[in-house]
Amino acid sequence: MKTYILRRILQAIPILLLVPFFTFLLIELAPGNVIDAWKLDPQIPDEVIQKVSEKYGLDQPWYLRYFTWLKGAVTELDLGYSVPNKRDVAPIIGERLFNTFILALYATFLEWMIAIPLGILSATKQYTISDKICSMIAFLGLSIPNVFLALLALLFAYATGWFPVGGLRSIDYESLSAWGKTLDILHHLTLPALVLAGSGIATYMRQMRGNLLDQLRADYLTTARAKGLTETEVVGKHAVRNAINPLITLFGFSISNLLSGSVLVETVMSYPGLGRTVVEALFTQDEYLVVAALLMGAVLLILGNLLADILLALSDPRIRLQ
Amino acid sequence: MIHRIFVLFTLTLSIFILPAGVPAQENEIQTVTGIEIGKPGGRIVIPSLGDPKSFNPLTSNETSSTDVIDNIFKGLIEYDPIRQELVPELAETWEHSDDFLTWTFHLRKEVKWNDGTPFTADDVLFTFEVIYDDDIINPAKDFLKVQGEKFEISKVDDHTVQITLPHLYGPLERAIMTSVDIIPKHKLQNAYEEGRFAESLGIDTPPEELVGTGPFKLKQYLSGERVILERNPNYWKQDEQGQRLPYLNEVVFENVPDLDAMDVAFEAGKTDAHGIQPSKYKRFKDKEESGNFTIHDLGIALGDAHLWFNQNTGSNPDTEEPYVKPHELKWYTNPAFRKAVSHCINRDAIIKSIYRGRAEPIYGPLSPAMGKWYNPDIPKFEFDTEAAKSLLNEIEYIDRDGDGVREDPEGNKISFSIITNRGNNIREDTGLIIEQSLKEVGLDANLQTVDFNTLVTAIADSFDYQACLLGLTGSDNPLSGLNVYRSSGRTHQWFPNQESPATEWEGQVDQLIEDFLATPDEEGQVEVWHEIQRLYGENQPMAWTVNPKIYLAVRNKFGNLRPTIIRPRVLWNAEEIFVKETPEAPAETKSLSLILVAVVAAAAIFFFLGTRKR
Repeated sequence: MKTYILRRILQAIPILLLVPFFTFLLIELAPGNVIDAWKLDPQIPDEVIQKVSEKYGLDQPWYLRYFTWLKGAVTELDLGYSVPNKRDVAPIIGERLFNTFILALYATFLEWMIAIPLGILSATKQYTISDKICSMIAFLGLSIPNVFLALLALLFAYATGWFPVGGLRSIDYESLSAWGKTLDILHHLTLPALVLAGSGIATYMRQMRGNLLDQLRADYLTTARAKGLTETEVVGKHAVRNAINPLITLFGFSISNLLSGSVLVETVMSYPGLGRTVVEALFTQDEYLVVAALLMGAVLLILGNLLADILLALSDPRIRLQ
Repeated sequence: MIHRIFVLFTLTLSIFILPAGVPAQENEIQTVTGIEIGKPGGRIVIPSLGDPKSFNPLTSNETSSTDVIDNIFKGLIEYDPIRQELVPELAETWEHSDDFLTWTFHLRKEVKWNDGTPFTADDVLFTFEVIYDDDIINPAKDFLKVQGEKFEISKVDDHTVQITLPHLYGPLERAIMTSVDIIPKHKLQNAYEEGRFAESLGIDTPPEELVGTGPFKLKQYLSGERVILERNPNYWKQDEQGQRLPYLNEVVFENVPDLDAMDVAFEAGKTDAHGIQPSKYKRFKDKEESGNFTIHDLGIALGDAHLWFNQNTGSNPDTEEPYVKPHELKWYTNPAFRKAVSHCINRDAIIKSIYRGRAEPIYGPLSPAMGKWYNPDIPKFEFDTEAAKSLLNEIEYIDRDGDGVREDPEGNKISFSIITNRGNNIREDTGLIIEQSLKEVGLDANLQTVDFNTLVTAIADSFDYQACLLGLTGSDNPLSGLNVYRSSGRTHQWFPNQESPATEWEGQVDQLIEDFLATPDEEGQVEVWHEIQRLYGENQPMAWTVNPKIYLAVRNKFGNLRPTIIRPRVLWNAEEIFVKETPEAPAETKSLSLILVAVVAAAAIFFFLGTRKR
């Protein structure tokens, strides 16, 4: 197990080197650079533009910037400097990554907690009215684009006033008790998390239903029934356990979905997360911030897949990691 | 010596008079009269597009930072946007010698930094030392030099500062008002001496280290969420009843990612002030009553949108190709051609179809919102295709082959593309209307939308374009536009960075700018600016289009709140604003999320328990 994890981490290194390489290349291919907007501002002296451009290597070719950046990142863990934000990249990423992380965590919680029971329900009650309602919800969830769902959620929050229309904390946050603070963040997270979980719920639900239906027709369940186990025990102890394995594999992929989904959801719903930061950084061509954010995305993806594989090995005794 | 007496009042509503000419008694705080007496408490929430990038008042220039900083740091002189006049802030009075070369500023003795340390002349000297430091990048430096030479600043006593100018510098007071926010020596001297000034007062500065003299101080900054400022208990003003200003407990800058989110935040009651785009006026007007707010018409915007042709006579240093083809350059540098184009800007159609009537036509480089600086008598090239046609006929740009497009006397078809930035619907539509009328008179114009960065590269680096339609955000201060008007300026858009003026009239403008800088009295300065605008109007280096009107909605619960067109639109008198009555808190709905989580969890647990072995 340990050697397996080590090997996976070693395999990740080339990916982590290539992601920034291509990001630098792609940003170079787009016209202009990060201080172009300043050139149109009559109030910024030429001298300022020149100094900033020299200081951050904007006058050098992109591959030199890549190697300079790489050297700094490897030797000093320095991810670079964001010119538009006038700040080092690392603290910006730190703050935003945490926000995206709790949003994704909450969305994952909702996905599993909603999708699995509903999946089991539709499989055990196949072709009944409840199965059909569940299927309809699933198809809606799959077919509505995240962006549209986010707009609907915003409209809902605005029309009812039950949920905040954006943000992560209310203004009074500091004066609240610990419990109040938790509740406040939860309250702000709910709508974005539901939107983000939307397609995930649908996928998991359909997957769970399909898997469970396969298992329910398997011979070993007939054996179990023949031994006199109740139907609840048959489904719960044997069928669900086997049906859930493919979902753990899906969990690894869902991390990439959550990350790409968060870009849209965070932007539409004014959530201060990593996705919104990437969008803003792309618009201003703030390359170090884009590179660092994408690198973090890649790290999360690799870790997520690794975690999914380990979980799978733990839950399915037939799988051995070598 | 001319002793200057400052009497300030704001229109009919409020008159606050400083004891005329009599310095305040030591350590006694100033009484502000003529404002509505408010009560302490409450907060105002202002939306902000983007985070502040720094709390450093000297190095910041983006509005998301300066809007916040303006409430924390103050200068010697501030600006009253309603009277459009300079007013004393940290300097109580000032006077100058007869030759306008020596200026003496008498500082207020009652002012304290928000950590309780008294404010003295040393702070002012320190501020200038930092601004003049060559290693510290700051936009203020340029405004505080005359003919490239620095001023001499000296301390007369603890509360008197003298500025000696090497040459006459007309806009000195204005320059000090715009660019000098006084910073605390006792907090920043160490950082400065260790060479860390540029990084100090960054966005991660702990609130207790951010020491200013303004009415508010930093309470908390949450990146991507908001900045919360709280009242500075040491602020040096009080109202007539002896209540210390500011009234408000907190000023909050709520981060919104874009204009749509800004609309939603205001409609949902999250923010208290909101700039309304002209096209959305009706949507908000209908909700005025139910939303408990009032829409203020602030008048015409300061910024402008204009079309210009590339008149750059230079050549690309790598390929030695001229930036503009010689025969095209002949068109663009011909004033009659440019005037004909100006006659083709259908401003009425732009106003009616794009702004729904909520805009005004513009014919010159300055917006009428500039008050006395604006010259209303410049030549106006109204929309008139017949006039355009006869101008073109006169210079023999005639359609010779009958295809509907005119040719110049050498037989070149007059065809050019106009670039504008993609994603700005208003500008794209404006471009289409202009394109259509240009085609009507026989000029083959083609509108091309490109990415903003491509556009910037074209007009500022490669100069590879023919015509461009773009806007500039304006400023109320004529001083900040010098880079545009000077022929050597980087943002002298039709031909930037000229080594010597390309045309006679541009040379005249350069000379007028020098005159402006050497004119000590403001009336004389205004006259020079009127002359500059006249030259611009006569030569039409650009064709100006329209300026939108600015509408600002503010909740009715605030007193002494008088928004103006000039930034900061709402908070320029932040210390006087108060909350009239506290509206009922909306019903608490936070438990909804809890219920949702509980229901989901309960359902799941119930399910799993149901399926687990017993």
